Amino acid sequence: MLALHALSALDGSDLRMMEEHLVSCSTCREDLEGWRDTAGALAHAGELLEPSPQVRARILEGIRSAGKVDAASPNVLPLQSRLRQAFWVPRYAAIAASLVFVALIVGLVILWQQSRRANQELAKLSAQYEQAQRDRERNQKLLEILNSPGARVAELVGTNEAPAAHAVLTYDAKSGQAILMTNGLPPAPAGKAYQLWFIVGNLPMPGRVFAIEPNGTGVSSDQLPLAAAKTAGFAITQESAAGATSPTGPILLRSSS
Amino acid sequence: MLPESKQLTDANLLNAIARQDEQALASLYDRYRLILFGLLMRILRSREEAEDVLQEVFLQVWRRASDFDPQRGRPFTWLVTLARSRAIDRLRQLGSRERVASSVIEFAGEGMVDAAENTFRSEQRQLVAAALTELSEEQRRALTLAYFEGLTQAEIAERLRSPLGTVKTRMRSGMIKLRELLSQQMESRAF
Repeated sequence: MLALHALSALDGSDLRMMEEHLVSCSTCREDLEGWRDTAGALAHAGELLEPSPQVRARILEGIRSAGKVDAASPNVLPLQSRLRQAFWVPRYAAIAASLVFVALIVGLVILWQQSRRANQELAKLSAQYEQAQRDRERNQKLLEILNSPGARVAELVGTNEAPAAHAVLTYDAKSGQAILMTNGLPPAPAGKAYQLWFIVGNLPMPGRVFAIEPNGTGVSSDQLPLAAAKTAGFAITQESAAGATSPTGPILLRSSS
Repeated sequence: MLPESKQLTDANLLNAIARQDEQALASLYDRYRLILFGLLMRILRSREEAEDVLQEVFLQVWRRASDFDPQRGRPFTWLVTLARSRAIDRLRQLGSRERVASSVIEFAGEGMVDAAENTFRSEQRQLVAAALTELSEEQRRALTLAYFEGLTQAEIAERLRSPLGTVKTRMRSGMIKLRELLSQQMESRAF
């Protein structure tokens, strides 16, 4: 996966697992630099093209003026002097007052629109923050599982029903804590959801249902039944949104073991 | 100041840039502007956007040259990774990946440098071109989509209408083969 990461081509759970792994593995971090050399060599496959001469000049000007922004001369005229000039001739006072009134109304409308946009942006940022919080908590839990003595990682591959799907179940065989990460599954239809199954012998035991995020990935925290913690196989089906006690739909992904 | 900047290695130049040496930045720009602008044009397909990103890249080099660690990687890799990342970020900001990918924009004639007349890293270029011909068409296509269009493995699978697992295998085997073909020269030359 390092080779693909050097191309920035990983996504979904592969990317998350790689980033988490690199945090703690210096060997892979060093190997990644080697793969980046290989990827970087692809730049030689492009054409040699000459940028405009102005680009060089703009860069040099940019680095010279970087520290001069604060010292720049003000480019806003004092409002007071303009108003004073407008009111200087009394016969224009009424017209000027009307213009100021109209300007105030326009200004208020603009402020209201800006406020509305700011509120929308704030709501968006809040949602992103909450998502980031959830991601951080999940990553923390994932790290805890990976660092546990009973850490296991099971790969689930798509069956003919979902050939593009792929999933990784990371779990602690001792505590039963588990995190499932999928990609390549389409969003489930209304009223439906995906469900994880633990296969012990030939008996499927129900796990939690989960949905697919807008980015195409699915993430679910689960708890393996004690009977499933050491010898289970895993599968994913599509069920009703409330989940099922035994699978009713075809198997979309299954673990290889 | 750098009296003989042409004799300096890339690492020397980055070291001097970290000490805020303007001439060193100008020398690095002169050395790599053609290949970087070619890369940016290939990704962005717009002279205006590519020039804007090229400017951003070198301003970032000016600010971040001190971050470069010669123990961790090659200066060229650092520079080209920086440029490609910026370009792909810009591409995503523009939201024009599909438009760009599906459009045919003729830019090759404008400002193009004749490789026969310009010997800039021509050996490396020939080497990479030869190595790419050794890959299968599928491997080359997948690597090109990732590198020059910034597509992820899932997006490549969708574009090529191939299973994700197949695409991953092609990319991995393509990169391994490319590294093998380039490794001998990469040890003896500064890519």
